Amino acid sequence: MVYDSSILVSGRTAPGSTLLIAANTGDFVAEANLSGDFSKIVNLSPGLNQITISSVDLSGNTQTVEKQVYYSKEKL
Amino acid sequence: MKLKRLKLVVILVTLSSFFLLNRLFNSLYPIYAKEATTSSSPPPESSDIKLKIEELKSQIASKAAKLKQEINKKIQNKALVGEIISVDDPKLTLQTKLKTYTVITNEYTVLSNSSSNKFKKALTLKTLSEGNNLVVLGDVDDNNSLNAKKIIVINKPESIERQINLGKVEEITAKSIKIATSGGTLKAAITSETQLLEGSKEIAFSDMEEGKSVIISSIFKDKERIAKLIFLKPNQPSLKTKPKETTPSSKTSTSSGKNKKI
Repeated sequence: MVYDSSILVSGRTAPGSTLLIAANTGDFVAEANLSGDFSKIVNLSPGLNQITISSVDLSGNTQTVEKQVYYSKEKL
Repeated sequence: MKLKRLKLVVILVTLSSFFLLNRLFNSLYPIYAKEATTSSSPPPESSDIKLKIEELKSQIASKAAKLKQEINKKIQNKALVGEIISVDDPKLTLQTKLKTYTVITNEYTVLSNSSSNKFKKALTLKTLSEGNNLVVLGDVDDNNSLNAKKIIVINKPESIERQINLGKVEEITAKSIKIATSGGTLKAAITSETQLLEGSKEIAFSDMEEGKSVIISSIFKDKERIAKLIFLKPNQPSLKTKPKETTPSSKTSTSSGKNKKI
């Protein structure tokens, strides 16, 4: 549950991996650094947002995590 | 004379009992100076008491921390998204992706519709039924019970089958892209919504060359695979500048290590 129109998606994966973040508002790309850390600000649409974060390492192995975020414009 | 003796005895008894009481009191409640003296070593009893106080302090602090942790574990402010599997007013059973929760409502629970939801009846708990999708906000305890503060009725979240593939461009037109992946060839339609990126910048289809390494995010919709995002890995050498005769016979190592003809 968030009250801001954007959210910071961050985490750690294999170093050098490419992250494809699919959200209600579009698709975003982030690159993991040499330590594997990544972060990306993702825009949200009002209501339920489904965010799919897929990490593709240098060998093409893919790992996907799904998150749900509810964005409310009014404070509850 | 007898009276004088008696008086003397009384005085002596009083003095001695006062002396004894004073000794006893001092041993029970020792008196310490308000300000620390400059003496190099404090009395041994004083350091013992300080040690005991410190010990007690740390014990209390660790117990308080444990209690706080337990309380936080038991009650968490949460938002759940799920589908009603049963209604037993004032309780609902909600199935989320991972768990089943009992949602407890009361007279303070607020019910509302999401803006996009088509559920237009006057909203009360009685109007909710199995199959309705909800977002429920409240406190969850460790028995998976949630005391609902707010319930929002939403449309059923769309289930999208998304696929991510890494491969090399085999063919690209304005309408579709074909890539060679470690598992075979993948073909995806290109629509007006397909995004093309190289690093963080948007590129045109003309920048997409055969043989270049790409990651495609695609969905399956209406019996067709549609490319949502085509990501061209940045800083790849242009293949257009290579001599033509070497290109058809050249072999490129794919991500899986297998050689594929491009």
